[in-house]
Amino acid sequence: MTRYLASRTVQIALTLAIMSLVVYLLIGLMPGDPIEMMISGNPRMTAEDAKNLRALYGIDKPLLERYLAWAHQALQGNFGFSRSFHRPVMTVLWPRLLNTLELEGWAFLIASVIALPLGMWVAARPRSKADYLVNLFCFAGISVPTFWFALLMISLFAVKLGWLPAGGMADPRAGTPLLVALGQGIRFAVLPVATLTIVQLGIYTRFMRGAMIETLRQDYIRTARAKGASERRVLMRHAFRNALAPVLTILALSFGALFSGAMITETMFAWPGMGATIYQAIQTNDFNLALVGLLLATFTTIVGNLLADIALVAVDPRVSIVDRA
Amino acid sequence: MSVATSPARLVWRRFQQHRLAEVSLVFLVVLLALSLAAPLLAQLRGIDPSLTDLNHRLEAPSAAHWLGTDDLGRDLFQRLLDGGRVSLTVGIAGAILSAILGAIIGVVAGYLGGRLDSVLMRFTDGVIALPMLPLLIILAAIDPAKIGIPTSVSQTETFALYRIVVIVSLTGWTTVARLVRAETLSLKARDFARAATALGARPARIMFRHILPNAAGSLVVSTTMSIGGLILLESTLSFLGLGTQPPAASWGNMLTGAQELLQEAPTLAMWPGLLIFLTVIAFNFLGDGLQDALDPRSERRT
Repeated sequence: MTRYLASRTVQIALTLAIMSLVVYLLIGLMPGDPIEMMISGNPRMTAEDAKNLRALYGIDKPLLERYLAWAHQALQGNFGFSRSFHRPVMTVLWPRLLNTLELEGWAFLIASVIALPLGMWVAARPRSKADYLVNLFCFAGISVPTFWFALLMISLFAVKLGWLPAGGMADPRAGTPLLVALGQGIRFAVLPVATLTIVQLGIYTRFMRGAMIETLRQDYIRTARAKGASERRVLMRHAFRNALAPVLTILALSFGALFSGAMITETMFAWPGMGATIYQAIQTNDFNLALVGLLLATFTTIVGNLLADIALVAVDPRVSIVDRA
Repeated sequence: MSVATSPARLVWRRFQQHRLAEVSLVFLVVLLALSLAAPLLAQLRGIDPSLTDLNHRLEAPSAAHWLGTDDLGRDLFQRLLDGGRVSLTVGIAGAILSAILGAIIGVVAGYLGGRLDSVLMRFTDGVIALPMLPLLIILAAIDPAKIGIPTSVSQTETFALYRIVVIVSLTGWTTVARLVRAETLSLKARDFARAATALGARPARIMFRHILPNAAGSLVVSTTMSIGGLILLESTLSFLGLGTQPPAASWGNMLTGAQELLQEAPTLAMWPGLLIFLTVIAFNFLGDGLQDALDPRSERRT
């Protein structure tokens, strides 16, 4: 176990290092020059001042050298400032990371709780009318553009019916009774969570259905039926756990896609999360915020992956830690 | 007794069993034909789809404007077709590009094996796990002038199209690479591959003349399936203002302003989104049908 964790830690560190280098270089290629933006609002700045500012911020040096300086600081826990928030990036990102995890967590949980039993249920009756309908629904979920679905939700539930807020997040004043604050929080969360859930649901259900059908064809299932086990027992005891292993692996790999979905959902519903913040940071040329935000998003995604892998070992004794390392 | 049936006919017959795939194919062919013929159609109708006319904005459907006009007074029907040409081109070209990329990586990893295989597959798994959308947004935001592309080139519509094709194809190749690698592993142990080796064929010849053609069926299926995802991605990037740039139409950027106009003109938000949805679902059904037709032993349809 220790060896496995050590090798995975090295892998995560390597991924983050490569990511930070690539993104740093890419960001250097984005339009806009930070010094020009600073002096454009001030007519008294001369070309000489601009040069001095460049030297002061170290922007006159080659890109690679700047990256190394940045990485050196980052390794000591200093991730720099956000230009648009005028605060250290970590203090900007931390609360937003929690908001994103809240959105992703609920969507993942609800989607899994619906998709796993549903996929299992239709796998037990392949080619039936129910299977056909669920399959149609899954294809619809996979094919609907997230931002358009969000638009439809807003136009129906916020604009037309006026039941739910169109966006933002509850911000209860101090002294609000807990239950009222909770109710407000839920009202704001319903549409974004529902949007992200629906988008994930189709993918998860199809994974589960495919894995179940594959498992139900195995010899040990026939054996279980032959010895008289009830269909329910065959499904729950024999097939489900065996089918769960590949599904968990694929679910873990889809965390990155979950973050991409969350990014659009947050932007559409003005949910103050990491995805929306990264997008705004790119739009407003707040390069450092975009870079660190992206690294933090990658980090949480890979750690989520690792946790899922460990969970996989717990549910499936056939998978040994050693051969995953 | 029926007469001898050619393999192609067999595939076609199996494909027809999948009704949704058949309907999808018809829908896509009609859509493709219409959007390719859009400039001609505009001429016939005497409409210039890029002409803004603020005196006739947000008009209801009429004989002159079949689906009405948008917030700048342009004919919505023609703009939808123009947007469709962009979306279909990006989706299909991006999928082909990512299939080529994925096939090369997959066949090399699977055939040569060893350390190269494990490095390539680690890399592929790493890319799959990444949150791709923010990365692609950064990639879409970079300034072509800073990588030495003159503005005379980078301002053209063709360049914008190539750029978005390359960007979306960077996500599509991973699935293909894993699939082709798995196929290669089983194909390279087959007798025909071993015979080719025994005859002294070089690895490159075996990979590209013997193995890849035999993996063509699953390549076609996965390429078709990925078109839908890439169209979604293009529309998302364009919606966020980082893909196809106005005044060129794309289904994604037609929705950019729609959020503000939800009250005034709800249909403006309906049509482009509905077309994205229908096109993507049609490509997915088509891929599903092709899978049944080309690979009858596949895990589904037991």
